[in-house]
Amino acid sequence: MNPIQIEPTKAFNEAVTMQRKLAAGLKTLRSMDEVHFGVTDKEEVYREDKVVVYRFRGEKKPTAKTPTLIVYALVNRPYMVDLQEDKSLVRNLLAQGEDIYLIDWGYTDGADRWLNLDDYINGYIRRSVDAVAKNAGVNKINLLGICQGGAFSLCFSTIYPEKVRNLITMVTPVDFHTPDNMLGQWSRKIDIDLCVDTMGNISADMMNYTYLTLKPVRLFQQKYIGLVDILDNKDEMENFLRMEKWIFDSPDQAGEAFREFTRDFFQGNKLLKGGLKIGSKKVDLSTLKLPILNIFAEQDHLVPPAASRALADATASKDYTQIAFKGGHIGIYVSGRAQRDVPPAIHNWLAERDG
Amino acid sequence: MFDFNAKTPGMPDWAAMAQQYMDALKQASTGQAAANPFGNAWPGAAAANPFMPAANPFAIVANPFAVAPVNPFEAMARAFTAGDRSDGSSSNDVAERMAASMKNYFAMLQTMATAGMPAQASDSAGDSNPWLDAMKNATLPESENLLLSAFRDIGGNGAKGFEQMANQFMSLPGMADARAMLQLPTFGMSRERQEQVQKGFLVLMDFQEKSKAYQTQMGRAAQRGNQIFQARLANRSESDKTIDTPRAFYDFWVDAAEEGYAEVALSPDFSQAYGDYANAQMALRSHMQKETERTTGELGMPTRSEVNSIGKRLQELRREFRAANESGTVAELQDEIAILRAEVKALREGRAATNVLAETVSKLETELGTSLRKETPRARKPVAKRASKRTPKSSHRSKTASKKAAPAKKALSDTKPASFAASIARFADAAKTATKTDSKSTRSTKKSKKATRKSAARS
Repeated sequence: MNPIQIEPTKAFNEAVTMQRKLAAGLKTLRSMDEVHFGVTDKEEVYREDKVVVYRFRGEKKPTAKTPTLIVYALVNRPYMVDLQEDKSLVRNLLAQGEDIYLIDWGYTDGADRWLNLDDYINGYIRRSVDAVAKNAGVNKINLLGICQGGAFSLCFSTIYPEKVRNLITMVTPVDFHTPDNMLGQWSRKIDIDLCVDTMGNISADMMNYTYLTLKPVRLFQQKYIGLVDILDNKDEMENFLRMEKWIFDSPDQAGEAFREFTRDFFQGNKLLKGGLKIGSKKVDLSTLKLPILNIFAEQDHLVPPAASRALADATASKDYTQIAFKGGHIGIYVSGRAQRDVPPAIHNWLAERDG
Repeated sequence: MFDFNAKTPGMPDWAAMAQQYMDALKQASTGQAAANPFGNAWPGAAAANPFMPAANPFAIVANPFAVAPVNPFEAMARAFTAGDRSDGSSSNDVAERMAASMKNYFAMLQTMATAGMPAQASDSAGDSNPWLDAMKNATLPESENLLLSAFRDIGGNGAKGFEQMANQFMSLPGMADARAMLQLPTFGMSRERQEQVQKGFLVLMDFQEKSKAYQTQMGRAAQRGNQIFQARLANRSESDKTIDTPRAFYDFWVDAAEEGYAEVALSPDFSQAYGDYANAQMALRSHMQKETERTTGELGMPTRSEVNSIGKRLQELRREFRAANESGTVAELQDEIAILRAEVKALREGRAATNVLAETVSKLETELGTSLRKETPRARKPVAKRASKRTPKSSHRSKTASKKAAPAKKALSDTKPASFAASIARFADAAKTATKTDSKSTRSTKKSKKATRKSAARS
């Protein structure tokens, strides 16, 4: 039997509906206000260069004794964790009683061209952690590292275990050489020195283009064809545009840090295999004994689950917990299921290890 | 913003065009043959459908898309973007992306229409299906497959921008002759310049070569996607599941295309082509930057290399400063500076006290000398001045003078109101004795004070 049974009338109706929605869409787009994001009140507790550490204010006082600092990736803006009222990891964690801080890396420019991983991890993160500890009046804090920020948090916790009580990693790559890691495969053939020497800072456009080419038809094309379905719905369009803004509102990457991260993590896989040094400090995951909660997404095309799962056997932690979340790299923060499942899981795990 | 109903130069009357389109669809749905519903309403629209084959074995009578050679989604795309630009504002990025996707989507539907719906899926590897062949690449706009056009249409500056830049570079004067020059050795005054031109052409040729290899891999990915697509269609034909809307069909195709792409993109050949392409692009960029630097440098403008060097040194200094600060070196130095400052302050205060004492003594001596001159005519010369004039010569002399002036001070301290005149007489004698010891004294009291301060500082 021919599997394609497209009746002309159905096709006609679809075309007409699409036409109508496109026409309505123009009207909708013209009436759209500028999208807003970042819904939770926050106050600045530390600032250095372009880096700012914020403390979020919930509706009630935190019950957790130990504050948690979110270390986001450099490649996107951190407001993904506090996108909108009903899609906010931060808001939900505050509601659970956690005391949440966040490092905002800011937008890199030419002056940051020579910042390397030593500057980021032994510099900015260390001083941010000290600032949070001082602000909270504690000696140790919890770290919640996301994606590349998770890899940074692993390095930091290994170098400065005396400053970290508990470590949470979300969608964090540990093994960069799993067979299904497309970015890992491609990056190994790149002459990273030539690339950084030529480009200086790596432009956000180039980064975004690379991410989109991981699933080109879906991300370049199908997504926008699907958009027609919601063109006449202002609320849904607002949500779509907010997400669209986040995806493409990306900072450039500091050249030297990008060179080191590509060379040592993507190409050398040194975080897992060993031999990694951040500045003058050795990073040996096998010495890491802290309690670790590792959360990853099962349909993650950027950080394949296997890349995160590798953490299970990489450390000396006797208190290691792993949660596989059904969803993608972004869905883990914004999907309805994520809002329902992830914050309580983090809170419960932390509560058992607080103070 | 774009006025949907307004007639814009270079744009069709959208409302009329939509009406024509709807009419055409209605005609098509009733099986009537239709000419191009838009005619030449759209600038550049072909009168005849270039995709319509003369005899299409899969043609179905009522194909709503067979009559629309002009892409309505493209029209919408232009409406969106032209609308934004008409009032001078920037184009709507989302609308542009959506419109570009629409164009591709419609291209696929058009392909389905013009090549005809498959009567049945290919059930053997050797069968040629014109419609599926059309899906691969041959009849798609600009002779590209959907995968490539997806990249081209929505590529950011990371790709499309550079492609344009490379094309501009290609059109630079002298580039056309560069190929011939490549074969020649360079010499003379312009040999360095010639060598750079040759190098530029080499990296450009390399870039083109690597770009071609990358496109080949993309073609492979598209081909693999189609193989998967056909296999899945065949599987579907064995089941009861059918695809009954164009959108469902498109989604079905996307799934297969993505799977094919992922399979090829994870292969070593693709990774190699990807890396080579990126590296060749960087080599070309690097060469172009150097050429630009050379030119701007000659014009006396600061260059990227200079800015980089300064930035690098500055960052190194910041690291060193912070490291020193945090390691305690700076703190220790700061403590030491504080101690030294306290000592200097104490010394200054001591010197000030010495100065006050010296001034007081000098003043008293002057006063006493004046009194003495009034009461004893033989004391005519200013005793105090003369006594102090010795001090600048040397510290030794200063000490000597001080020792010799001591009787005068003692006489002063012994003075009592009752025997004031007698005391004055004794003091005058003592002062006279002291004065006689130095015949080389200067005459300035001011200088004397200065010398006293210097002496104190030396001590």
